[in-house]
Amino acid sequence: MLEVNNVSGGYPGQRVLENVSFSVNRGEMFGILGPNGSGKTTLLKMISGILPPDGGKVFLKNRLLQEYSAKELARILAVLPQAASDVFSYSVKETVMLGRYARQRGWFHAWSMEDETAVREAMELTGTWEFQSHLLQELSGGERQRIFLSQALAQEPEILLLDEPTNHLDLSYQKELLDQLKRWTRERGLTVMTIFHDLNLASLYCDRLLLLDGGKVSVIGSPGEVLEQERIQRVYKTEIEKQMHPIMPKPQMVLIPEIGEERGTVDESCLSVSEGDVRATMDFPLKTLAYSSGESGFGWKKEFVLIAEGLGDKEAVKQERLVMAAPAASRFAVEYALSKSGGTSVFAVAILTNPAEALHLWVFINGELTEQAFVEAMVTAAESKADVSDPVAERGDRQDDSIIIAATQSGTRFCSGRPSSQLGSLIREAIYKSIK
Amino acid sequence: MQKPFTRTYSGSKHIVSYMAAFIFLIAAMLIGISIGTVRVPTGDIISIIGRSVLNLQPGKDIDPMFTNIVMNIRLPRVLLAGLVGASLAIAGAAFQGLLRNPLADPYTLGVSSGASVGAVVTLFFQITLPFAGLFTLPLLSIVSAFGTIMLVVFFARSIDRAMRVETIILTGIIFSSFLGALISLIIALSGEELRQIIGWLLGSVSMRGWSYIYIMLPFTLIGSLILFLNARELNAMSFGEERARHLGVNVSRRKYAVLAAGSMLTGAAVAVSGTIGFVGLVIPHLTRLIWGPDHKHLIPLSTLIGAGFLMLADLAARMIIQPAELPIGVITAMIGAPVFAAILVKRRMESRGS
Repeated sequence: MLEVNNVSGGYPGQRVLENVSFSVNRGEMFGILGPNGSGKTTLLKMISGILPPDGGKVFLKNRLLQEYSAKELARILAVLPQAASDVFSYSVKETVMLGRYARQRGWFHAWSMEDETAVREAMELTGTWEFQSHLLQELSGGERQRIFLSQALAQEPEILLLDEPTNHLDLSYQKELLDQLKRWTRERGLTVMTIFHDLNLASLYCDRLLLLDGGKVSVIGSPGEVLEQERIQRVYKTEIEKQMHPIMPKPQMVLIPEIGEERGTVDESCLSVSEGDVRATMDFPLKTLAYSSGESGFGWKKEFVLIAEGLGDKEAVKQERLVMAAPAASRFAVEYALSKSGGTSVFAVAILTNPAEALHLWVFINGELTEQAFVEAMVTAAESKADVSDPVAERGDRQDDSIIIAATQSGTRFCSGRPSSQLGSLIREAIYKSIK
Repeated sequence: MQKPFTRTYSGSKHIVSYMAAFIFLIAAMLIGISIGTVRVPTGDIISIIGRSVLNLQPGKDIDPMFTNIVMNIRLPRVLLAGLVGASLAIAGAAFQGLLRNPLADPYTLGVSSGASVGAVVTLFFQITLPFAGLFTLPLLSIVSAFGTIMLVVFFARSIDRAMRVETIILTGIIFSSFLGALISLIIALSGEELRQIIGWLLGSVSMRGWSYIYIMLPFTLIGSLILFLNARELNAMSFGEERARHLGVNVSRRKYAVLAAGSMLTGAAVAVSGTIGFVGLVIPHLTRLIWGPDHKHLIPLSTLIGAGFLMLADLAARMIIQPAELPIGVITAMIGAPVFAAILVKRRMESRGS
């Protein structure tokens, strides 16, 4: 559909792009990423024929871009500008009707039924038909953006170029617009090429991404290939962490603020034991991987509570509190131990309930764990627990047992929690010492 | 089915608009011919014009003095005012659309001054182009008008790529002042030609006779035809040149066509009547307020309203200090300058509001 071949150029006295090559297939949603000044808009201008390249060639449908007349080009390619300004107060419909300019024929450019249908369809798709007689100036930025999208769609293009289409839109319209564009690529074979500021939106919606860095192509590929943590940190020169989207198999980049929250350390001073409950309370949240009757999975928790039923009714469930229940009138035998190595320490708490004989194991780590380290630490803790608690194996039903791995996420960074690793041995040591 | 309804609605709205504008023009014309030192009854005007133009034989006899006044003095004067008014109004509308600037007009852009320089030079050096004859004056005015607008646009763009409204107007003022000074210099050097040139400079449509109408008419027709044929392109270009390009407009070609047509209209108007300011500012603004910014209607409606407006302005110019006459530019400036200020204030308020 579109082929960009070794394109270089920019403005007089300022070369913005250098040897950019890529191609976009029909029906594809193609995203262009890059920090400010990396040449995204310049590239879009070259592809839309506004700015002739100094070197290299752009082919549209196997024909050189410069060979198209302005009208021919507008019938194939439409552009949604970043921000279109308007001086005179045209009505919404008049504005959209301009999109038919390149399609109207004959000497008098009579307005045909075909034009009317195209305009109406474009406006209905963007939900702007109902304010067709409003003036453009009465509308909000987001509404105007949708009007100009209708204008571009009224051109009935085969390829749509967008420059940060979600710029003025609030969250629900961002999603609606991108969902709609994606649907058109699938249902109508529309080719969409768009500049994105938001890496995460680009990752979610684009089939392929092009990352520009200083006017050169850094990488082209699927979101998974392009959005690599080290590369994004290098190109954007900022702290960023890659995570996977919880539902989609797409990477998401998370910003990490330079000034974090105050984090302390966890030790026995955090622990309080009374008649009906055991609790560990911190004044900052810990990243927690839990396996428990209360809840399981990842979270950020400030307070860990094991409480006998009946008393627990008072304990409101809060986002930052993890509550585990024990049968009414249970008594708790609490033991704990600290293992230390270098600047890191692991504080383990083992609680045996009576009469149900459930074993709760809370492992607090003063250090930073990657997701991988969390999972490995969980396994290490479970294996250690099994090693040590063998004598009470006859307890039978162990479904009330829990294991919690919680880390302060500051200090030493651990990428592994396997038994053989430094962290793994600290965990084992603490658990062995606490469960005797 | 909402479609047919909107269509017929907008259709009838436009018929009403054109009817109203046309009635305004005819009324202005009749009033302009009728009122003066000698008052000619409206009925007689219609009979005289009917007899002279269409060879009708009216029932009653008409005072031959009336015929003389109407056919040789008032009618050519009013028609010339109409042609000049129409030309300046649509030149203004075109410049405004193209430059996306509601304050643009041949006068504020310095195009009128440019045309004046061409005209003054022609008069001063008594230039006659061999093939052009009588059309030398308008042709040279047009050429210098076109040169001026090109310079103004080039200059404004080179200092401010976004071509903000204020930048263009300031550039126009700079060029106007410079060209005005140039004209003063030529006048100072000219000696005996002085009076004629000064009177002409202030703008007037008096005592021009039919010949000026014949000089003016072809340019008005060609210029307005070009602009009318570019109405859709002007609509697109008033959203910006890039946007227009994306919509399929061949911007570079259309832009020059519009600038050339605007210069043609301005240059010809200046050549026959001197500099008359603000017509191109007030009329399109008013027309847009009432009928909206669509150039397909803005241009023809501005033609009708502009013509009628200048006929009335001319009437005021010759009635206020009767029997002497004011330059017509005085009247248009007294109306135009406050409108200019009002648009400026409105724009400021809007940009602050958003």
